[in-house]
Amino acid sequence: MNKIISYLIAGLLTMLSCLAYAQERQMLSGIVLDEEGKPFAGVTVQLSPQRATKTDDNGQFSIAAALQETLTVSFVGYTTYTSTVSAFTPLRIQLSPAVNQLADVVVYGYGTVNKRDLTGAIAKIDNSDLMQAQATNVSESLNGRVSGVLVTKSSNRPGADMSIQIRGINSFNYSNEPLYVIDGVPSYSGMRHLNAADIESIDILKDASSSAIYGSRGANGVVIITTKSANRKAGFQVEYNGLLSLKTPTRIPDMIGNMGNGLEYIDYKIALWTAKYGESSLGRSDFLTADEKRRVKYGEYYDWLREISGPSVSNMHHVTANGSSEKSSYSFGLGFNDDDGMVGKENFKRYTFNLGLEHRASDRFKIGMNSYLSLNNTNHGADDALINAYFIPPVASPYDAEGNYSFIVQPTSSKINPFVQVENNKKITEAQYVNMAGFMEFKPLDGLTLKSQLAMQLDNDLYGEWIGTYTQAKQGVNAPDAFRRESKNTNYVWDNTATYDKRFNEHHLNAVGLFSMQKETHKGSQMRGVGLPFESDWHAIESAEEITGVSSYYWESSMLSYMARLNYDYQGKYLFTATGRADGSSRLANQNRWGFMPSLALGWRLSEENFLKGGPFDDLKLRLSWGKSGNNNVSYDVVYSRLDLSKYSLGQSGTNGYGLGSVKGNKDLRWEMMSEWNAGLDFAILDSRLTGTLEAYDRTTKDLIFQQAVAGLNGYTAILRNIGSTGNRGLEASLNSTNITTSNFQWRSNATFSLNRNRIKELYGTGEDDLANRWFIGQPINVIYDYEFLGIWQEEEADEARKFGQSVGHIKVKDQNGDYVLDERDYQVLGTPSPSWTFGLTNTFNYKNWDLSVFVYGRIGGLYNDDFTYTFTAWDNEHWNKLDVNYWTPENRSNEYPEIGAQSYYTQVLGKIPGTFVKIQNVSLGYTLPAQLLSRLHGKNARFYATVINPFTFTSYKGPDPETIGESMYTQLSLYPMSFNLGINFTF
Amino acid sequence: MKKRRQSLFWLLTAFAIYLTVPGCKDDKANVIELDLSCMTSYLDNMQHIIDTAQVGEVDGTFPVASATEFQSAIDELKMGISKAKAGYFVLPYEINSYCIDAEKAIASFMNTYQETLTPGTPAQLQVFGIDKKGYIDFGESSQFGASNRFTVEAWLKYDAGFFEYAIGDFIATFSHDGNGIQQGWMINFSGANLRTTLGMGPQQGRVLEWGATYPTNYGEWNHIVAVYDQSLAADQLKMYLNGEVFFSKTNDIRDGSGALQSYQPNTRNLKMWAFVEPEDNNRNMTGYIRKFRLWSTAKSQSDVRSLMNSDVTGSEANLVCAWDFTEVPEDPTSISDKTGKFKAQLVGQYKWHKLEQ
Repeated sequence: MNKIISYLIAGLLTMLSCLAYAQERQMLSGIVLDEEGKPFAGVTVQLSPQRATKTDDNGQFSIAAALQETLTVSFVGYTTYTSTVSAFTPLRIQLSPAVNQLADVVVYGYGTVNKRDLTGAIAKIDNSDLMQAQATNVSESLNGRVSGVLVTKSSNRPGADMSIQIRGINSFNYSNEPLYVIDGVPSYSGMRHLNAADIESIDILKDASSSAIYGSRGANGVVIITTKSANRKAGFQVEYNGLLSLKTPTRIPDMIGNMGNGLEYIDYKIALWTAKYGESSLGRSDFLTADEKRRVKYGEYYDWLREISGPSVSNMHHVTANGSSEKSSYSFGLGFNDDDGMVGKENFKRYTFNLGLEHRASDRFKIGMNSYLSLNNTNHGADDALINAYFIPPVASPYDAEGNYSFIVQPTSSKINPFVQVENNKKITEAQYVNMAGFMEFKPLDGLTLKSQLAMQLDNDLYGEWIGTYTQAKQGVNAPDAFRRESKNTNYVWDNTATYDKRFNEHHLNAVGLFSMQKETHKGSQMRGVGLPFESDWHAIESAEEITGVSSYYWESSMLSYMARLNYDYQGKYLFTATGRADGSSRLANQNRWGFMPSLALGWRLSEENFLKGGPFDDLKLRLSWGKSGNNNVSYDVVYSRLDLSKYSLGQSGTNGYGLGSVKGNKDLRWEMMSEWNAGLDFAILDSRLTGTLEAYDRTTKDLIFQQAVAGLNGYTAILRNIGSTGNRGLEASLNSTNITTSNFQWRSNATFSLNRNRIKELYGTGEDDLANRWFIGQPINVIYDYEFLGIWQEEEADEARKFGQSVGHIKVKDQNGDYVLDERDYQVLGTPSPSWTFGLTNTFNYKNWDLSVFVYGRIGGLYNDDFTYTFTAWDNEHWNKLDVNYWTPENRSNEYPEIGAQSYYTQVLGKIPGTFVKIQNVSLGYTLPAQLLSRLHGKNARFYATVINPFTFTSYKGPDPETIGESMYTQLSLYPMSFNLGINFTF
Repeated sequence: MKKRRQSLFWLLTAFAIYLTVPGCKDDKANVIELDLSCMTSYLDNMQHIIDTAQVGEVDGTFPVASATEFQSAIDELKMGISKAKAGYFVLPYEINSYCIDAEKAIASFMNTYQETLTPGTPAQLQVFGIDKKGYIDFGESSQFGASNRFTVEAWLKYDAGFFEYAIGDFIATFSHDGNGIQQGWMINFSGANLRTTLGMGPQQGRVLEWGATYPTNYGEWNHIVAVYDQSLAADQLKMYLNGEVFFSKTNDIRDGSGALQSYQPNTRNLKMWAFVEPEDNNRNMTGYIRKFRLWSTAKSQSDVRSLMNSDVTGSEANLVCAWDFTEVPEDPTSISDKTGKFKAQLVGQYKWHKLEQ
């Protein structure tokens, strides 16, 4: 009884005390914003375990609080905000993403996983980084932001293609592009047709244990793109992103006599002609024409590169709307890009439309669909125009006496007026990309999900080319040509998965089984009309005098796949993943078409072990994996010997004949198969203010398919065989740090580092090099094999030079074997056209509502063969211009470039140039409107920003952009843009 | 204070704009003072020469045609001086060009001084190939184009400035098939190099061309040999200079598919000339020639050294043709070779220089 009384008294006292506290409490309200300043819904606001609430759709909260209580605001993946209640004025709290990325969710093929539980090497880039990059082609955004990924641009023209390499190249003869998977559908079109604003995230599967999930298509890595339509948010919101960009050429190469220094060109031309033809040649009428002399007299010089190029305006608009009710979710997006080039009519336009629907009929059953439509129109600009602007000297004028454009601007040169060229040469691609997928999902048991998805991908493109009479090719004489090429590709994928996910006390099991069918078809045709009577572009080829190059094709390929993956972890401490995939492809013969690609991965969270608890590590995880994956990028007909078509003249008409092609197919061909070891370390220290990932890998690709030369007795000269192997080894690092964080100011840094060493391990099974193809065992697949450039022969070396048949002022190369004969026996492997290492560094500063970010990207090392540098330093054409570089003269003892007009041998060494560069690629300043002002505008978020793209580039490269070294001189040559962008992001 | 800050801000802004905006330079017209002294000096010199020269058609005089040509050169120079004084010229090279032309006109006129040597007189032959003024025409034959193996051997000497065009051709039978396939061979000078150029095919427009710095022992004879042997795996093309390997070059000419190209003998233009290229006459040079031999075999270095110090009779195996230009011929329009199969002719400007015994 006493006990009951004492309990009652205690309870009463407790109630009284609570009442006393309650009487001191008042309502504390505020708004929580995410890192972009947008209202943050669903955030937990807590004062004690019993008193907690969540923010509403507008990020608002209200909770009863007392003075001196501790307030915590938290959300998964974000740094928890903690403070003591000191007043009841409304709070404005902005959460930053936890620098500890181990909590991120990663898409890893047929499912997702917390990065915390990841066992493979997977990198992720999310929408905010993609938007920050402001690249029209999303691929470009990966450079320097994801370790282990190298994106190569073919040109800086709008709409130009880019290629991606993940951890180096593996195959000699077939594509090294990774597999792209868009919303679960394997795609062969890359991601150039996607608008960055539509992409939620991109996950890059780098190691074989991760890419093995895609089996025979995973050898080159996998790029998984998740669009916003596939990842719907609760509530309803409309978001607008707009960008206006002023693009202007920067780093315009320094040609002799440009910027109005025409006399510099005259001096050069005198030196060239004197050296090449003797002093008397200057009296020739073609040395300088009367018009050219007149321009010299009046200082009328033309800076052709600056005349032909100019600033251009580009813009991007994108609207996304998404919403969700209890039963249904939806999202749609509309996007428009208009990217104008800086020369002629170069332009890229893209219209995108995406739609996602999902209906949840019950807790166990839902259906949905995703669709993405992208219309891309690319005006590739004219061939020859820009290169002619490089060649034509400043004393030539684009205008005739009446002020109209001349066709011939130099009577003594074959190079025609580039202004006329851009008007008369068109190259346009119209492409349409459609991705559609519909799915059904059923959960028959707790933890078990069955899903069936049918997806279709359709790509069409029409490429047309018009070469008018007044072009470089037709020289103002010949009738126009037109070329037309069409292709249509379809891809159907039916994926059926069963996923079982269950926790048993401290055990977590996730198992996935897959049965998949895929079929793709490819068809197309092309023709060229020579001698067209009307300006009909490529739409009336039948009117041509002659129709040539007519061809058409069709091929199809299909694949059947079974896959199983098991993820298991114990206490989140010991992680295990096993994957096995069997693919059967129609591209190989019956006996070899099935390949099995297994992988195993282990993870050990050391920081959870007692011996490390309380140590410096907030998180420390060691990963080790091994896996195999294949490369099915081989041709569809490698097992067959083709009958080639030949046309024979017979009487007044021709007839078709068929004969065995030069390459014999081989039914014994197997998959090119890659296996890889990967060791990784994820860590977080200093209260997770410094986190990072380190990776080391060793990859071997075997059974590479080669054309092996054979004696031509049987009617063919080569046969395809699985006979080579290559290797890639490398290191990667990704570091994230919060350097300074105060209530008003934050400074965060993100750095990536990649190093890859590629080598040939075996060729033909003989252990011998292939000199003809420049393939050497132990060296990278692509090498620069040539003379070693030592400099320029100087006056005091005249006697030594003469022993080599060389002269002072000429190029000096190394006599490797010391026989005083310079020939192919003195060639050496000088380097590889791939960077030794790359890095990216992003620094982000936030002060109140202002944000500033600076992104630096660098490639160090690598030796490239650059036609541009070679052409404009080595060529000594008597009427063309060249780069204003440090040429040798008796007075100027240059060791870089030979004497003007020297006609030196070994000039090819001038085109072998280092690829090192460091770019400050993106500087962006943003301002987010304060919440109070926003609420008056009925908006949830508004951010304005100004960005400069490519403001500074540090390199020894003489051309415009070191990232496009090696671009095609006549068809893709481009200038390097610096862009000034103004943008807005507004969410209602 | 605020006003002062604003003023400072605008001043700094204006200064920054001044620094960053290009193209506002006050470019002055680039006037170059021209010096006419070389023109007037040459005019005086030329006038003196023409005033004192004996013109006629006998030994010890200059031909009338040469005198007329020389007078034209004087008139051209006078016109140049007038133009220069009238401000017609802009750059110094335009003045220099007149002076160089004047110097060449003097040299050309002096070379026409008539001194007849009797046939059989030991002499050296100088051919004025520059500006296509003279050359040796060896006739036309499909044998000149040779085939998979051949050797070209000749003695040559020249003075400084012996060629003026991009390529100075010494001896060549070089052409194309009419469809762009290069054919034949050419021993030539370009830049600082003595080279051999071979037409290669069947791809159009391909040549195997290599060389090394030419000897600058002006006024001295050099024994020059080019050897091609297609049967070798490497070093198919070699040149020898005075018995030493001048260079060797492996055939690395391939078509777009990687197929190795091979030497293409002439099929269309079968001419073989010295000092002017028979197809592109702009490729020419001035020099002396002593002996020339063409062999249908690939000579070794020891063969070359032996030939350098010996004569041929004309009956040697694999000898296609051989000429010695060591004495004044009976008929300069018909000079027989040692094999008796071919005849050469001297065309245009040339000169026999009597050898002092």
